[in-house]
Amino acid sequence: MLKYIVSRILVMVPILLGIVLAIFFLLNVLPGDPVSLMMKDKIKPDVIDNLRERMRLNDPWYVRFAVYVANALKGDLGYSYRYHREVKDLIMGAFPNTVKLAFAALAISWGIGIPTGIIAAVRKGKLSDSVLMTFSLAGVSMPIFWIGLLMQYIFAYKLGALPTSGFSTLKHLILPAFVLGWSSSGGIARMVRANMLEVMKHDYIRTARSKGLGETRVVFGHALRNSMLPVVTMMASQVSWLLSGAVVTESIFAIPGLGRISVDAITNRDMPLLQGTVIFTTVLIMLSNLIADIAYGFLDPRIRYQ
Amino acid sequence: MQSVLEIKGLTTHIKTKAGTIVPVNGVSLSVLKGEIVGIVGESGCGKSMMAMSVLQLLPAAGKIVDGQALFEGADLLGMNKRQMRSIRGDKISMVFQEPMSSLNPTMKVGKQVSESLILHTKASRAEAKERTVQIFQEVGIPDAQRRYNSYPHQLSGGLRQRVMIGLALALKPALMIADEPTTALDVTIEAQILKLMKGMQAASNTSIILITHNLGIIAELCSYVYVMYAGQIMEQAPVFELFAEPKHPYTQGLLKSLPMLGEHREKLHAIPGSVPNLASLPPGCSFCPRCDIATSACYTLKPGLEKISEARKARCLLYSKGVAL
Ligand SMILES: Nc1ncnc2c1ncn2[C@@H]1O[C@H](COP(=O)(O)OP(=O)(O)OP(=O)(O)O)[C@@H](O)[C@H]1O
Ligand SMILES: [Mg+2]
Repeated sequence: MLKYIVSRILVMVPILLGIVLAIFFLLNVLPGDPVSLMMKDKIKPDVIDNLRERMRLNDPWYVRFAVYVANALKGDLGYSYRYHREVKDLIMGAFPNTVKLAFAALAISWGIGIPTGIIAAVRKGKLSDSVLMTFSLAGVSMPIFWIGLLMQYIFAYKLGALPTSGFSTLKHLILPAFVLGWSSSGGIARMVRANMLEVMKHDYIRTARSKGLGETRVVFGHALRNSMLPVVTMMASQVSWLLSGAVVTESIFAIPGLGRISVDAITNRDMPLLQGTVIFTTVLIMLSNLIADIAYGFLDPRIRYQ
Repeated sequence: MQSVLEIKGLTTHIKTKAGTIVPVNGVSLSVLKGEIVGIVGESGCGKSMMAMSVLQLLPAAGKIVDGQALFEGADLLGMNKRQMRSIRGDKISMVFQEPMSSLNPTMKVGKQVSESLILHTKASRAEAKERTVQIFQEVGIPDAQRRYNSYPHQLSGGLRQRVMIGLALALKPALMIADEPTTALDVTIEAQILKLMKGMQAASNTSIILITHNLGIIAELCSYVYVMYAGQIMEQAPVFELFAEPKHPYTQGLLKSLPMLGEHREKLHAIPGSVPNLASLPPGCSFCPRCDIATSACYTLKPGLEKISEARKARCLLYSKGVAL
């Protein structure tokens, strides 16, 4: 198991380096010089040259890349032109908000999705199955911004029960987390149901029944764990999904999180900040994939004992 | 002698894309206490569906439409789910065809056995574990203590089938249904498993229904045999009599396809034609398209299962007047 984890981590290194290179390249070939952006037109050319020199903008790209990676390893992701603060500090300030949002959303999406999927699978073909699956289809197909606005309208504007924006209290978390979580719970429910139905066809389910186990024991004791295996893999892709969903959700509910600062970075052509957030997000997604792989190993002995 | 299981006129339907098929068509059989009864037939003739019907473990598309299955006098087919669960595993157990897929891949094999002990005997976890290790030793699993914690993929096919047999015999059931328990195993392992089953059966006086398409296995283990074809019993006889003098042309064909010990043949005789499609059976006798001695009457009359001697029956127009269609 340890060997398995170490090998997974070693594989991540070249992948991460490749991704950083790709991002670095993409953002550096875009037109729009940060110095001219900062200085507007009224500055003397030699000042600009001086600054370009200091920011190493005149060096070839590979030198800049090497310097960037070396600094990034030390935790220095550069300096945001727009906010005049360290990129690292900006990210660290925004990250906890996104984490809170993402975990709350995750809890909601799994809390709704898994039981819904199980119930629908066990009651396959019955009315409750159809009703649940229709709801989950609605969850899958409604865009986040639409649910977000709808929820704001109902709970904040009409009922006045919850705040529309900001992120100071737990109450502020409820609406955005629900919006973000709800939109992926439908997909999870459908997936759990499909896996469960697939697993229930296996021979070992028949063996379990042949022992005299009741249907509840068959479902929870034998089918559930096996049908959770693909769902765990989905969890990893769900993290990237949550992060991208957070961009929209954070914008709608004015939450100062990672999504918000990347949108700001794009609109302001704040390259160091954009680079920093993109790379940070990439690392997050890779880590979540790693965690999913490890969790998979724990659930499936065939992998654990390889 | 008292019979443990008495099946009368069991008929099971399965809904398929090609229409409703009848893989079990009016099957009657009885199993005496401590007896090993064989059911033999080609692939797809309904042997497994017959077995699943008894324990009501049919796939969702299957439905029992007629008949009785009297177990120790009570009709299994009339029982509710709870009554059925108390029978399964405890009174009647089953060993399945595929040792690879019949065990849960994410549960320790020991736990898969002790789970059943806990369910039916109200044993504590520790007691059940101890008993399971003991059972593993009885079915010849080496290093039983350690194997308790193995997962199925860590065991060979033979060991897995030993686990299945241990599971099936754990509670000393009155009846064990073994559905081709050795088909997936190679010949030496097959011999070991059969020997094990025979030994266990002798020790616990469990009755066995042994399903196979291998007449050699029947000859070795069983005392009475039913020959099944396209959902029906074609012939039934004490094993010795069946081998000495097969009455039904299908049985004769099956026996001819069996290689005899010490005999070298260039080519094994095989019954001509292919396994019947249950969705489009011929009218008249279902075997007649493949029968060497079929007459025109065989295509229009349905033979009944007639008594031909004290302990034998056969379904052929040679012995029966038949029913006009
Ligand atoms: N789940 C199912 N759905 C539809 N048809 C099925 C299903 N299971 C079995 N059948 C059909 O029922 C018939 C009898 O199948 P059964 O498994 O009882 O045969 P068998 O005698 O056990 O064969 P084998 O020796 O291959 O195990 C076959 O024609 C098969 O195609
Ligand atoms: Mg079968």
